[in-house]
Amino acid sequence: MMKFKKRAGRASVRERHKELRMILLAAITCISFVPTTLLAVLSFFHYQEIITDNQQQQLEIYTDQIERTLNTYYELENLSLDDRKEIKNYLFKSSDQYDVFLTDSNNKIVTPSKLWRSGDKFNIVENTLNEQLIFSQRPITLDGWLLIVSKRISEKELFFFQFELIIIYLLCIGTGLLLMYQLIKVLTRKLRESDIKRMALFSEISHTNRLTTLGKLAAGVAHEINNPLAALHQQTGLLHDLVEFSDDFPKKEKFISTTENIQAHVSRCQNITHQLLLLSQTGVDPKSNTDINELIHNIVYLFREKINHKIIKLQLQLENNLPMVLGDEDKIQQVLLKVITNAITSIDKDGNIQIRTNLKKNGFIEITIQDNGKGIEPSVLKHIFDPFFTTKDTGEGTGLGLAIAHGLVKGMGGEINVTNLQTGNGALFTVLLPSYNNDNENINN
Amino acid sequence: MTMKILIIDDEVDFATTLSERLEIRGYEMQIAHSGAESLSLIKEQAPDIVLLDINMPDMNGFETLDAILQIAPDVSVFMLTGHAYESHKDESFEKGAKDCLTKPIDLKLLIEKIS
Repeated sequence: MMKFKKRAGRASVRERHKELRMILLAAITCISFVPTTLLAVLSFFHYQEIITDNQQQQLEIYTDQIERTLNTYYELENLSLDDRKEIKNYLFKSSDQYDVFLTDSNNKIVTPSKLWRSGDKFNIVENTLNEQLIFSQRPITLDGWLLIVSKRISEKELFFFQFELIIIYLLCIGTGLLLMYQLIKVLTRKLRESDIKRMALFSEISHTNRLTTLGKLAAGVAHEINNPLAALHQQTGLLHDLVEFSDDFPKKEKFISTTENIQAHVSRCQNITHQLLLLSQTGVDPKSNTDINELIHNIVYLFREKINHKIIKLQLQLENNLPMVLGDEDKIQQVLLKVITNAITSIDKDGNIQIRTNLKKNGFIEITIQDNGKGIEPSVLKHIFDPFFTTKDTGEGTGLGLAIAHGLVKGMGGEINVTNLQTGNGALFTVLLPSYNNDNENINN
Repeated sequence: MTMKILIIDDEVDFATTLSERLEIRGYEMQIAHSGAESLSLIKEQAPDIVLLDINMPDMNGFETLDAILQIAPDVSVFMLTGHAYESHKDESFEKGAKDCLTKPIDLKLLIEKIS
């Protein structure tokens, strides 16, 4: 049992680990998805900023204005053509890489008074109207100045930006797909699990329904046959008496033994019908209550010879101070007798039967009967509570024992189940019965 | 002196057959098919033994038992039941019956008990 529990425990831990791993993976995917998306969005805007048509147009306007300003400047200064060419060369050579334009603090294009050729990072030149022009080889920001120089993007850089964007988008799609995959995996697993649970529940319900229907059918037939059988039994008895008390006649003894034989067979039929009637017994007297531990001690006493004969060890683990069980002692005794008989039958020799009782949280009292016999074959397990289902040879058993146990337990509002322990480790019967509380009487009085 | 036995059972066939079988064996038999019918018979015939079915309509076996023992406290009453419930047995003894026998009745056992 310990081994079984341990294994079951390990399996559930493994299952739990698997689940945690899935959740962790999904969480990591989620977390990584956020910055990647953010990066993609940011770079998209960055890229947009560089290539906007609007800005390009603005730059062109500025360049045009500068050119016109320069022309005015040339005329004012009366510069030679060479000088003009040099200045223009300087300005527009640099404009391969940089756009140069002038602003004042009011964001207006202004006229430069003088141009300087200089290796400085940037030059600020004042014109006669106290307006300023600034040159630079890289973007700078000064107080009171708007954008001064803007870098024009090259073909190479454009390709790089586009490539970067594609990679980021691919990454986003990839992580998105991964996230979806993980989510679908978790969801489908959950769905599958709930499906399996539901199927098990359905099959349990349909099995119970089938047993109830079978029980009702069998009990109904038994009820109908019972009275004719009783009459048959009585009439045969009378026939027997009439013959026995009459004067001697040829073959009188044969008559007597034949009627006795008939009576014996009728008795057997009556025995079966009486058992069948137990299959559909429902309802429980709210006043009936049973001390389950005491009952188990009494039952064990009944089995002492069988147990001694087979050298079976019987261990009792009965919880102290259990409440009384709601239900008729005779019925509960019948149930336990049938289950224990089944356990003893499944053990050859040197076996071990453990009977435990304990109180469940839902107020039910659980009685478990565990043997270390051969266990129950799966094909048998499915039909173990069916009436007339037996693995014994014809004539050895009616196949009603466990069916009656099932009918009686259900009738008392309880549950009876059986599971196989690890192959070859025996079977475990669990009987759940409602506990008796004093309120039952108060309600009914 | 022959022993007087009264059978009280609503099942006519059962009561008649049992009565005939006991009659063959030399008992003086009476039959009543309900509790109410039985009470007047008990007053008139004063039987030694009453065989009383528990499961009867109108007045059941235990109610009849109470009534019988009020009229004739000395009569030996044996209850008959179709079900082998311990509770029936317990209640029978509690109410003053001599025993409770399960149907189908084992005649040898019944004769043993009433003798």
